[in-house]
Amino acid sequence: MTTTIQNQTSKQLVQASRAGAIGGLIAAAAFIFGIALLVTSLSDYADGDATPAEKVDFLVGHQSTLYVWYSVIFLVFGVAIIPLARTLRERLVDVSPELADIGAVFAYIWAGLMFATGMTHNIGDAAVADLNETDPAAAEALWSAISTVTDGLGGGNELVGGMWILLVSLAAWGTKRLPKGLNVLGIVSALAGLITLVPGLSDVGMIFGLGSIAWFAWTGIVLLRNPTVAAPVAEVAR
Amino acid sequence: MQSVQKMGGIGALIAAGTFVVGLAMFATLFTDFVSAATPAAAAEFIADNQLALYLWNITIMIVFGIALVPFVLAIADLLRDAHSPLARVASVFGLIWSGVIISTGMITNIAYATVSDLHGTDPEMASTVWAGLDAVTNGLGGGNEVLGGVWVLGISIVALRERLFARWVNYLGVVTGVAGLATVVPALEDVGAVFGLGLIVWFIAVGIDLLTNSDRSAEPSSPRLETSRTS
Repeated sequence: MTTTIQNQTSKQLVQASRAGAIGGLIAAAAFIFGIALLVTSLSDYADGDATPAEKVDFLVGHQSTLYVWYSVIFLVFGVAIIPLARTLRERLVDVSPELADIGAVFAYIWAGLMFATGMTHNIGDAAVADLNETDPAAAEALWSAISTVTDGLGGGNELVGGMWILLVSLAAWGTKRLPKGLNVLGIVSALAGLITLVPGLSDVGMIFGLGSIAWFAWTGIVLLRNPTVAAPVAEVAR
Repeated sequence: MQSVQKMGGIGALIAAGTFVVGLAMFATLFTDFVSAATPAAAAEFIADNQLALYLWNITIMIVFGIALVPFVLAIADLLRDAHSPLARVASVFGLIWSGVIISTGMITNIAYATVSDLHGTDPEMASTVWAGLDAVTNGLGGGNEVLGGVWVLGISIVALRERLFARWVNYLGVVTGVAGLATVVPALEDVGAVFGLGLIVWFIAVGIDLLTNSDRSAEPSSPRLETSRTS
C-alpha cells in the first residue's frame, strides 16, 4: 500500500518535472530564436542609433516578421516559464521554503510582464503603422512612447527575471537539488540582470540574455534526466 | 515559519522606509516637477535632474515592489490557518500590486532616458511622449490605488476577525484600504494621500509586529490567538 502511494507520488513528481523541463527548453529555444532574428533580419531595427523616423519606417515594412518575433520571445516564453517555475519551487520548497516561495512569485510576475509586453507590442505596432499613413510625425512620437513602455516592461530592465533566477540559485545553493555549476551560472546571469537597472548599463542585459539561455537549457536537461530530487544529482552535473 | 515572518517584517520596514524617503524627496527636490504645469516643463525638468529622479524612482517603485513580496507572503502565511478565502484573494492582489509597482518603476526608468534624449533633439516630441508615458505610469502606479487598497482592506478585515494584529492597526488598515479604493473615482484621486500616509503607519506597525512576534506559530492553537479569542 505504502509502496503504491510512493510510486504514485514519484510518478506525479516525474510528470511535473517533465512539464518544467519542457518549459525550460522551450524558454531557451524562444530566447535563441529571438537573438538569431535580432542579429539577422531585425538588425537594423535593433540599431540603437536609428532615429524614431527610421524605426517607424522599418516597423511598417516588417510588420509580420516583428509580430512573429514578439509572439515567440514574449508570449511563448511567458507561457513556458510557468511550469518551470512550479517545478523549481516544488524541488526547492522543502530545503528553503522562503526563497523558493518568493522566487516563484517573481517568476509569475515575470510571466505576467512578458504577456503585457508582447500584447502591448502587437497592438502598439499596429497603431503606429496605422497612424503613419495619416500623420508620420505623430507616429514617431507614438513609437517613442510605446517602445519606452515595452522596453521598460520586457527588456531594458531585467530585474524581475533576475530576481527569480537569483533566488532559485540561492535556494539550491549548498543542497544537491541542482548542480553547483548551474547555480553559479544562475547567480552570475541574475546579477547581470539586476545591473541593467543602473542607467547606462542596459547593455549588460546581453550577458543576462546569453546566461539565461544556458541556464534555461541546463535546468531543463537536469529536470528531464533527474526528475526526482531524491536521486543524487552529481552525475547529471557533469 | 519563523524565518518567513522575519523576512516579511524586514520587507515591511524597508517598504515603509522607501515611502518616507520618497515623500521627503518629493517635498524638497521635486516640488517643481510635481507642480509642473505643462508636459514641456516636466520634460525639461527630467532632462536636468535625471540622476535624482532615477534614485527616487528606484527607491519608491522598485525597492518598494521587491520588499512587498516577502511582506505579502508572510501575512498570507499567518492567516493560512484562518481558512479565509478573503485572505487568500487579498494576498493575490498584494502580489499583483507588487508586479504592477515594479513594472511602473521599470517603465519610468526607461522613460526618463527616452524623454531626456528626445529633449535634446526635439523638445516638442519629448513633451508629447512624456504626456503619454506619464499617463501609463500614473495609471499603473499611483493614480489608482485599487490593488494595494484591496489587499490592505481584505487583510485588515480578516485580521480583525482573527485578532491577529492590534485592533487600531486593523482599523487603520480598513480606513487606508477604503481610501485606496476611493481613488478609482476620478474626482477622489487626492484621497490617495490618505492611502499613502495610512500605509506608512500600517507597514511600520505590522512590520514591528511580525519581527517581535516572529516566534509565534501559524497553528490555530497558538497561545496568542487562543487567549485573544477567549478574552
